[in-house]
Amino acid sequence: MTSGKILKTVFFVEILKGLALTFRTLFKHPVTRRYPKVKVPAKAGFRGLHALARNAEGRMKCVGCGLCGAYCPSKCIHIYTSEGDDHAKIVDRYEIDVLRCIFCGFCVEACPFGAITLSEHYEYSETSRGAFYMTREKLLENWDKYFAGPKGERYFKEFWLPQSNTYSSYEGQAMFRGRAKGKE
Amino acid sequence: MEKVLLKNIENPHSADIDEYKKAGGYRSLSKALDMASKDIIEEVKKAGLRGRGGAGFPVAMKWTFASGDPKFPKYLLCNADEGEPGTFKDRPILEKNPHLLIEGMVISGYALGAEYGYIYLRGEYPAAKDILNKAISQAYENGYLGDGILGKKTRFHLAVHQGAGAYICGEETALIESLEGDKGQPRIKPPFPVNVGVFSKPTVVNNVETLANLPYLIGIGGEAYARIGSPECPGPKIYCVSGHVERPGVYELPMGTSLKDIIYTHCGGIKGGKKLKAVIPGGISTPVLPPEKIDCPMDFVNMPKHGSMLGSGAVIVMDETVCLVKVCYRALKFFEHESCGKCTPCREGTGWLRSILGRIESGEGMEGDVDLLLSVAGNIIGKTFCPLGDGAASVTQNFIKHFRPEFEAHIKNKGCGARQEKL
Amino acid sequence: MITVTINGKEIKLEKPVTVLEAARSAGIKIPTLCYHEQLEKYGGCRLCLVEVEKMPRLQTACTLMAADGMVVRTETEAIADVRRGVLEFLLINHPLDCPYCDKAGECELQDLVEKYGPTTGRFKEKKRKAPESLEDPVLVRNMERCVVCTRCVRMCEGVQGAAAIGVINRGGHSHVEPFSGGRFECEYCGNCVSACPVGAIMSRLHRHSYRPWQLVSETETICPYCGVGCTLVAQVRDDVIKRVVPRIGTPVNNGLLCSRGRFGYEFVGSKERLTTPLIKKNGVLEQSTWEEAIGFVARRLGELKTRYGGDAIAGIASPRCTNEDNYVFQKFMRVALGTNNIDSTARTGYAGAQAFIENIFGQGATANLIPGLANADAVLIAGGDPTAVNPILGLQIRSCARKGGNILTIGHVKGVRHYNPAELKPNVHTEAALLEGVVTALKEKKGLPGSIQTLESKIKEIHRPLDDAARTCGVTEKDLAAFVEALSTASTPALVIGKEVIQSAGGSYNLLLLSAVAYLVNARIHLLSERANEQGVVDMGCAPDLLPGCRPLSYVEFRRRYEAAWKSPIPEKQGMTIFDMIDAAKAGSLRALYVMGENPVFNLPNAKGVEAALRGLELLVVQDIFMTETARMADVVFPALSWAEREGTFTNMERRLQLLRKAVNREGMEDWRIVVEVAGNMGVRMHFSSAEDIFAEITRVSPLHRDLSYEELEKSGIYPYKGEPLRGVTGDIAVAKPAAGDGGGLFLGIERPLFHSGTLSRRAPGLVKIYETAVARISPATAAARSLKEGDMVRVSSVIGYLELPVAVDFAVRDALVMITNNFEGRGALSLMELVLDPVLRAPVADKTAVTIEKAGR
Repeated sequence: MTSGKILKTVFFVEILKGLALTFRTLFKHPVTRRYPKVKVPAKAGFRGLHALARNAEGRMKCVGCGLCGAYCPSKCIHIYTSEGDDHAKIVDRYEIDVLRCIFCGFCVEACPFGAITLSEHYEYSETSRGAFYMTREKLLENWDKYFAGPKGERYFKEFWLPQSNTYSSYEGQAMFRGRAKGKE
Repeated sequence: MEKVLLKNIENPHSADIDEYKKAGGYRSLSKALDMASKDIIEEVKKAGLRGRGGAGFPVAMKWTFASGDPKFPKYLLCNADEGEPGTFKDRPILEKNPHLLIEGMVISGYALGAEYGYIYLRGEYPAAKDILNKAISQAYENGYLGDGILGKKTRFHLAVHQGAGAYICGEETALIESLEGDKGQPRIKPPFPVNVGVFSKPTVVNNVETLANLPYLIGIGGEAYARIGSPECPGPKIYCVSGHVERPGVYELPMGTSLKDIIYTHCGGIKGGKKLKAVIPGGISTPVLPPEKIDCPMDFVNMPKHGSMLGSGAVIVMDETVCLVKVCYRALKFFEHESCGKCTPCREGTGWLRSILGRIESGEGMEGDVDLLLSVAGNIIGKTFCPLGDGAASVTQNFIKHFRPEFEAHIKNKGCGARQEKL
Repeated sequence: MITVTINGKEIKLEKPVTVLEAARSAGIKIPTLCYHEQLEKYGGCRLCLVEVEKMPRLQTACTLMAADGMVVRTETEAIADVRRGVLEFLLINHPLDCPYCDKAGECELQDLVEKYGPTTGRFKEKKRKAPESLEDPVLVRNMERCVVCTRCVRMCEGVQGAAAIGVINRGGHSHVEPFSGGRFECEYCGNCVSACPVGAIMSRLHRHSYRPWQLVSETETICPYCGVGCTLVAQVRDDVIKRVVPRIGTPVNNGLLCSRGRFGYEFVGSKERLTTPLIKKNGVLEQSTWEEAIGFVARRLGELKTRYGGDAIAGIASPRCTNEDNYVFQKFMRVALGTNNIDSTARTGYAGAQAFIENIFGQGATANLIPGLANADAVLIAGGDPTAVNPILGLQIRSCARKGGNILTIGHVKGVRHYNPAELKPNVHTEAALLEGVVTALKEKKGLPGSIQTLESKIKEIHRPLDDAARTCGVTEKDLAAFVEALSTASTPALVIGKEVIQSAGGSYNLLLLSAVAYLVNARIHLLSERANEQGVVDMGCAPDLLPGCRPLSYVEFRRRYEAAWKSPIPEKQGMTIFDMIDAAKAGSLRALYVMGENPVFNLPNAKGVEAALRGLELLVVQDIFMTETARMADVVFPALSWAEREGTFTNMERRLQLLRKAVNREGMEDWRIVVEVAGNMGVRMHFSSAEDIFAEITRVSPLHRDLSYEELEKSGIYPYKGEPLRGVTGDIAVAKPAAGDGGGLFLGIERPLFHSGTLSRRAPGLVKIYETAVARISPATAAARSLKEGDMVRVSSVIGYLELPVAVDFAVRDALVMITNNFEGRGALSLMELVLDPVLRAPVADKTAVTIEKAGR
């Protein structure tokens, strides 16, 4: 043991160093949030609860192409479509098993119409498993809840708007903008 | 030069068999029937006769292929589907000199060993149909057609089939399809028609003008014939001149007459003494020539050296008042309309070219459209099933090659300088 | 040997093929769109352009034949540009509605663009628009998406031979349209659907309800409809068959299907399917449990057996059930009930005719390969339209005609009328005279081969000069002579015999004459079969006189062998045929009837008579998948599993064994399992736990099926068997000559349409949409004579009943006939037919029912 080390031990240098941090921190504001009284705002692009987007007329944007389900790594999206009375494609069921979802956001990237989105909402504890099985109606409700108003709109535009929506084509060029009429 | 193909056409009754015989008709036939069939082919080979339809394929070679095929019966088809815009060279033969064609076909049929012939007539020539039918029945009555021609064992039967008005049926395989009753669309080659043609039998398809050359060729002999016109491809040729010349019309001249001669000497120059702007030398699908390049001999061998083709010999002359964008647009509209729809580049590409040209012509052209035209034309050329698509693309390419500034100006000025001047 | 170099790789070719095929054989991919291996070359799409050294232009690989020393490059920069350019052209007018289009995911254009295509478009104009055509009930056309590859047109014309669709207009306006306008008036084979590379022609069944990648389960199984036994692939999502597709390379159908196979699968998921066992209590069928129903049936059968003996009980097996079902069922009848009273509706034609022919030529005489028909140089068709009864077999006949074979028909055969057939149209009931003339002429021309003496002795008795035959039948002598000439000069002829010959008056005599023709010209015989397992039900011994493997019961040594295998005695007495059963039931000597998957009330002649006979039974047990006419009368109804829900084997008309596989799951029991349960409750244990177990026993017991296993069947169907056919037991040939034709008047004819097959297809909505209702088909002359027109309601009456049906005037119908189908509930043709049996074939005579037709009163 060298003399320096002996001195340090005798005079409690290390303990004093440690206590210095304690004293310094004693006069600062606490970092810990007192959740749920105090909530952390979600970071930009946070991937929370799913929602099915509505278009300007309030109809569901989804046409039932099934790409989200095809991409989904945990296979938690189930879509059932059928032929409607006017021979158009109708999305009968759009269901997400949220408990299986890993929130990778691939579904959103796959969607050609920006119909499926992930909201900033993350507080959805429930007491039954069934409540996490999101049906089409629940997912549309989520849209109304979390994407209504300017904040939701901004969030959707900044993070979940599909590329095809901003793609500008020539005047008059035939482009597919969605044709299915979902039952609302 | 004495008129061979257009001989006697001033005579209002030239289509009648007696008038034709009076002028020396059907003499070559009896001469030919005394020859062996392979000698006729030899004679045609010596004459260096090339097909007058546009490609200039040596006739003797085609005949050798077909007569060498062991399958029977063989067929001889006369391609009278003269659909190329600007072309009207066969019409005087069909309407004024039908017996010349019939005589040529019988000689050719004898040479090939073909006993059946068809004249595939253009749908838009209703008058020619009646004249031909009358001539054929006269020929039957006089023993020039049917079984035992001129008392010999030779048989040859001939019928006229009228098309329904499709440009593509001028292509030999499409013509065969149409004749068989199918949709006029070109067939896969090989097998070539000389081996598997109409009704899957060896078939020779020759142009009207080619066949009409035969009586004269047989009459004077191959060597004498070879001395007419340019040495590489001899013979008389009908040039049909239209557009802004003083005397448009049909001219029978020796092969290889210079384009400049045709326009300025034979046709009396540009109408109204205006300036020449462009010439299409051989029907709409041949490359356009600017005024400085018109000093070229009009034959199958030399025209490609001057950047164009002889085609059907249909000279279209345009003076300075003509808007070339509009000409190009009009040409593409024709090609789009006539595209058969079999292959993708032609079906979709001609329409696209037409719509871009239409846009430029109507003053809505955008920057880069000329390059787009070249790119689209480049995607068509060499990739289509038959030459129709190539024609459409090369017309576009050549108009732009020689007259690009006019296209650019059209886009920039949002309209047509030439037309405004004219107005 | 041809050697070509593609992309630096040397490829040796045995026979001349195209560059594309050469490249594919070496694993080099060249993109194509208009190329289809089953179709003739086209060269239209220009995607397969390749560079060939010493050739100035780019060449299409799909049309260019590989020549020795050719050097080809397929992956250069220039070619990439070409492909990009061509795909850009294809896309300028193609809508970008992939998220909506049902083809997305298996669209060839989509795949090509993804791999080779441009990423952006330069086309600035409006795209071509065309409304979707929904006029047709089962096919939808969307011509915006069409890429004019003409695969559908070439398929329709060159393979199917229907020539129902064509490319209309030219150039950029080209589009595919049926010649009949919006609605397809065609054979609805749907092969255009499988040929279409994009979503331009698609099926309307289950439209918009799946995406290709959601069809997670694919099962290769055998078609449940006719005796050809096509392999089809059932694609399933969530236990619902979404579509049925063919597969190229399968032995019988090789990528083709007919309307029934392709559009007739929906009965599987029908809501009308039976779900629970039903027991009749107080005259009403009530839901019950399996235990109760099985116990009840076992107890009642046991009681009846002890009271009246086993011969008072009979069983009807089914040509729609698998071999395993039928084997277990006949074993149950013979072992548990001790009777040979077992038969099936194969008795109405197929079984008798086959027995007759095999008696002459030996077992296996009708087991000829269907694709072999295409290589025949003459095909004689007698008794029905093969293109409607066995459509895929019909296609082979068309293929034969296309290759230059002569098609000879007796009577007008609608399905081959475009193939320049030599038709002989004898007057009604004079076919025998016509054939006598043909046999006499052939005998003189070809001489007797001298190999089958029994037949030759019969042939020697036949004598009718051609002129006499021609006069009697009302055909010209010239036609008849040409017919005989074509037949006698053929070196590989084939004879196709349909049910109309077998069910004609004097059917056995007609069959003898046809056999004589086949014998004299050495033709292969094909016996048309309407039901999927008609051959199998006979082979499994579901006949009163046959044991499994088609071994006759009357031979003691055979019986001993089976007794040893089954460890149970087999009754010696020959059982009753299906018609005897009905008679016995009427007479009261038959007390119980066990029906497995059959509907005798509808499928036997004289429906009312059969119904009355069955009413007298003490016990009627029915196993079926639907509530049929017979099931309604039953005391106990068991719900069975359908074709798609179980495993088993079918034997097709060429005696090829093929494996059925389970495509969808459903609760319930297979037919054999129900029978095993009933037998178990009666104290007869049959130790089968799967269809494979049963098959193992079949291969052990039946000499015909020796040494076969499911493992072998797994690969592809088995043809021929390794077992030993029965030879050398041919007996004398008994025939019954028909009475002279009574001329004049109208007779009932049974229409066998392409779109229906008995009582199964009427539960398939797709097929019902194509052929909606029963009609009375009459010739224009008949219609004119009675001043009837299309759509008029008429009353067709025979001595035993009448039907009121709308009239359909059809050129293909003979003047003396009124054609009615036997498919629609309450309007079956057989309900008008008297039951008259041919004494030899024991098959009903169908063409002697005189009918009258008159306008129905309002």
